[in-house]
Amino acid sequence: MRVELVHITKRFGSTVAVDDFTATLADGQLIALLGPSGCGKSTLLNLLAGIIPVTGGRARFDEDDVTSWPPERRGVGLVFQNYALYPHMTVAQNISFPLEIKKVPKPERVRRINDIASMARVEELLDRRPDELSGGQQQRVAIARALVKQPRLLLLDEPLSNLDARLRLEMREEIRRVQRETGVTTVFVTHDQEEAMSISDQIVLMRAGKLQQRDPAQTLYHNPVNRFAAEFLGNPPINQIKGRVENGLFRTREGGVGIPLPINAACGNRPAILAVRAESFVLDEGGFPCEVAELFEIGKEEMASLRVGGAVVRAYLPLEGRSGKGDTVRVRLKPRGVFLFDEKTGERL
Amino acid sequence: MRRRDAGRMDRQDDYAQASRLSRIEPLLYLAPFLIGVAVFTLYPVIHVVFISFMEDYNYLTRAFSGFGLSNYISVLNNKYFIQALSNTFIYVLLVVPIATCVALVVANMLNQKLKLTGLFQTAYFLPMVTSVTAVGLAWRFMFNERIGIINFLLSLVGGEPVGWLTKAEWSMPALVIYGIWNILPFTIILLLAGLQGVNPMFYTAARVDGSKGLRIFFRITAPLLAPTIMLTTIVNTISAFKVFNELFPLFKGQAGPFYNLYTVVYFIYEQMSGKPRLGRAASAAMVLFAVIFALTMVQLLIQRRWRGSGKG
Repeated sequence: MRVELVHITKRFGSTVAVDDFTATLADGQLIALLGPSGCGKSTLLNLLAGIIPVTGGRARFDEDDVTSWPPERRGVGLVFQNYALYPHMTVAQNISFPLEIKKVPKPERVRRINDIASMARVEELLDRRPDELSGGQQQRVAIARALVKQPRLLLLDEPLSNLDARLRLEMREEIRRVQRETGVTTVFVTHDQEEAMSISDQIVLMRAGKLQQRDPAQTLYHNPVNRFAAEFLGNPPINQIKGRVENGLFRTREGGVGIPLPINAACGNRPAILAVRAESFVLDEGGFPCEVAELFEIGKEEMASLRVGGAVVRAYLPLEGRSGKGDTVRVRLKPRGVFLFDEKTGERL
Repeated sequence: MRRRDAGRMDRQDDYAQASRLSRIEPLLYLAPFLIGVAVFTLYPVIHVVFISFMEDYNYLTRAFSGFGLSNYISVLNNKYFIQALSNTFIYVLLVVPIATCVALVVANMLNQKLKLTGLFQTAYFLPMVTSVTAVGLAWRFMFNERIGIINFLLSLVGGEPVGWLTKAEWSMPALVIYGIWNILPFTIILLLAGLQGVNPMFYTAARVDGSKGLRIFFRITAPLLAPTIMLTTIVNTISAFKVFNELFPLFKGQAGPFYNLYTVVYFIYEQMSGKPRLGRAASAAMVLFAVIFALTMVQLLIQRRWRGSGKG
């Protein structure tokens, strides 16, 4: 199902949680709502579910204008951060509950419960109570309960945040698999950029209630629209150097070397920020000089801290055995992963 | 081997002595309370058990002729006691379920986020801190056949004046209404606390699952509240079985207008007026205890079943 949000706004008193949000979410995709805490992504999810009413704007599911529809009419499946499994019901009863409400006849109910249980891999747990399940199992049951009524839209609120690191990896693959198998349009909220990048078809990046960028993960990573988007995605965080562009060279605010830019930058002489991903540095004898401040080895990665002008940047460089702390090395920037942003507005230049 | 252990034993004795002291210390702090309980609760309770089995007990001389069941036989053959037992059962069966249902409705309303909720919450809990007797006297005025507000309200909807406190057939309803009103605040407080302990996300989940209104209440709220409902039911049942204080202000110390509202505790009380029949009073108390105990056990069993079956 296609979801169309037009100028969606939600105010709580004087605070604006979602600010004039317009986006179309394509049918059958797994969409990550990504942003820092308090950016309004959970509010947006609740607006989609119809749990809270919008202050302004329209929401459309395919042809239906659902703006004023209550949650029970919207046909959405919702998985809560704490799963919200009914503690007084067994797993089977939990999954059965939405079907009973819809008055699905018993034989069909049993068949659908069994189908969804085997897809979510909880067949063994049907007679158990929620308090007898591990976090991952509860998560699977919650997904089964949300999917059993064949919702038009599946919503997951921070689905992985209550799991330990190992289980998180496993469950995110599970969510991806289940979404592929059912083909249901799915929106999940997360503040973890790695999570969003690893399983989603599209990332909707939010900040302070406003849509920043909506793109597939790789596009978002390689082509951020603003400084916030560049900053929020990627680990280690993107390097940022303040300065100005002069004759195709980037001069740091503290002065010193000019960094030759591999990208076109028609930005005049205004204060700008040069953002460079750690993997966008290459050793090159013809490059600009910088001083090695520190060398790290993290697993198989070799990383160096470099002093460029007055700024310190992190770069993946194979320096081990060749240069040491305090040496000067010459590097250049790859065109990919290098961006210029307006220092004031943060807009891409 | 013994000798080798001897030193260790000594040391253990020292430890034992020190810990014995530290074990006694808290008991000393508790002593005033424990002595009070022992003198005014524990001893009388045990004593009642003995007295109920004593034949021809004289409470002044403490003489008795032996142990036997004659007190029980006498009590169970007493038609006033049987009447008291049946009255008490009727009272419990009416007061507890009705009060629980009313309290559930009120607690749910108080749990809504509405204006003036705080005011209502206070108002509903006010009866808990007012004197039962004063309130009972107020109810006596309200129940008054000619000037009472209840009959006045009835007359507004075209009802005939009712002799709440003067007619045999209306005295039980009056007692029940007053009894319900009396235990409502306690029940509401507990149920409200229980409701506030229910995570609101379950309501959201149920709404997204497509249910609303009363169905959410019966499928989600009530089962989650079941332990609290069970608690109030048990406590209210026990207190309703002891109905006695409620009779006094309403009927000027009598057991109903025609002595038709004997309750078990009133029966026990009456055995002690005039020529005290301590044995009969004690055995009546034991019968009441047995009934309450049995019913409480049944309630707990039902609760366990209920949970076990998962029907919620």
